[in-house]
Amino acid sequence: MPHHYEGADLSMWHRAFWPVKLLVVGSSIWAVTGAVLMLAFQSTTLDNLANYIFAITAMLVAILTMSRTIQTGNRSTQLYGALGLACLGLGNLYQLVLHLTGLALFYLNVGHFSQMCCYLFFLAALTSLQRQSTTLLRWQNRILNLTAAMATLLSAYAVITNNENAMRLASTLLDTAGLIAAISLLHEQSRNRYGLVMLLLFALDATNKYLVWQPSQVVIFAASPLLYVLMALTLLDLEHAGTAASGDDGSGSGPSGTAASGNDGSGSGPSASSGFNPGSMARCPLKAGAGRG
Amino acid sequence: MVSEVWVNLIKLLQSHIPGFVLAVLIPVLFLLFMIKDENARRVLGYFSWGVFSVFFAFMINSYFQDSVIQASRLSQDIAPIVEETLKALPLLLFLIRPPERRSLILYCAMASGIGFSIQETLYYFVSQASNRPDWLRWLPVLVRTMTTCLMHGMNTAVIGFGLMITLEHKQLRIPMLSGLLALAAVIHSLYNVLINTRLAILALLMPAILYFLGLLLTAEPEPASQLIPESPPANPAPDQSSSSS
Repeated sequence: MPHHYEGADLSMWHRAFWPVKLLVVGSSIWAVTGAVLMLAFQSTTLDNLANYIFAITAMLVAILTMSRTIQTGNRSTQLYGALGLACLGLGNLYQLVLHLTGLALFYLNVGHFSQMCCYLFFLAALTSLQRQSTTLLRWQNRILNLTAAMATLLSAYAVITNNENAMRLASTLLDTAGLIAAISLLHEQSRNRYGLVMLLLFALDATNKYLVWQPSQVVIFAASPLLYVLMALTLLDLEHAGTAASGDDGSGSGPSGTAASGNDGSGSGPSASSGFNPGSMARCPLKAGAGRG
Repeated sequence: MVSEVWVNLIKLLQSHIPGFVLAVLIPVLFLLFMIKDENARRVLGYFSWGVFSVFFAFMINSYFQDSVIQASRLSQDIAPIVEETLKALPLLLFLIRPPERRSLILYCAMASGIGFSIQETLYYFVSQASNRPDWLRWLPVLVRTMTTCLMHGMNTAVIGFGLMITLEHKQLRIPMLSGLLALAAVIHSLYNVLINTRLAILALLMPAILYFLGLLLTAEPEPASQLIPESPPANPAPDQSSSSS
């Protein structure tokens, strides 16, 4: 039993690609050193470095998960998660490009819109992982959909009119919806690890928004790349969780051989096969706040 | 507000846009009514919508143009959201009447985006490139056709792709479509930002990358039967060496 360790399930780590492992190690080191350095020294150079690391990690994670999605041909949970990561990565890249080109960052821009709306993909991913179809869950999903629509409209309005309050409200709505969706996934065996990561991300994002305490913001910002990588790790590992789940409940397998039931419980149709699952992501908490002045 | 709408409408009528729209739209409509194939009609119909939606885009962008403090905000932040929404709006009709072939949604979405971009290219050509006296005045149009047109088409196709894969999942439609709208808007905006900087080459490459990514994502997975090596014949011919021995 070479991969069995008492007290810790490291199977996810062993199954991960080496680039993901590399990213986990690198972002872990950065999470500690970056937080310490940024707390110790108030430096613009350090802040810029943190922003670059943040944006580059987000893009790398997005590319890794999207390439894996294309390889497996998954059209469900994994794709939703990968799209969310891509949306977030592009949003961060957008901010970085604005920063590099010296364009003004004092207005809400499309990058913020993208960072906000990546949560919609994570909501879709969480919803698609629900295996049960109870009345309560159906109502919950309807409310989440309504919230998602409102948040999208609000954030589009916020960007067009440069209205920070509207953006804040949209963010709060999405955080709440995400927390509810993540909590409802915790009791699902083999998917609760993903639910936990999502819960952590939504909670940290909400905390960062309302807790105006600089040290905590710095620590969360430094840890954000690690959170992204964790999200990708759990997303890619859901491929295996999905396979295991299909063996449990007998739901059909998808083109890639992974399986899980559809969000509506039907599990039918070419796109109904869900492989694994997704990752969610915290939008760049500190950066978004900084961008809004 | 009503007066602003009237002012913008007059501005629209005084521009080249109505002429371009009618020049493309009327012949296409003749063709549209002639064609009997339902799928081809739909694709052409969405193309026509793309051509026509330039009217609305012009009106809405003009409305916000006066209110923004920073001029670049219009092309970077407002126009991408407005234009991507307008181009993708009629795709919602597929929710009422789903097509037999799902891929039709993707083609229609791309047709809408390309219809829009043709008008935009014509508008830019007349307002900017056509003033150049040299014989290379068509060059900017060529570059724009290969980049901006593809970008518009692919951005709408991205939203169409989302609709395609969530057609049977009612509970996923809203978050997926909204998220893809944001994704399309940020790609559009990133293109607009980069094209005016030293990183313009990245902007020119983006649509091509997106196009090939789209081809990969929409490629059908290889059937499992083709992955399994052919089974050996039931009665294999005896090995030459063994038979000789």
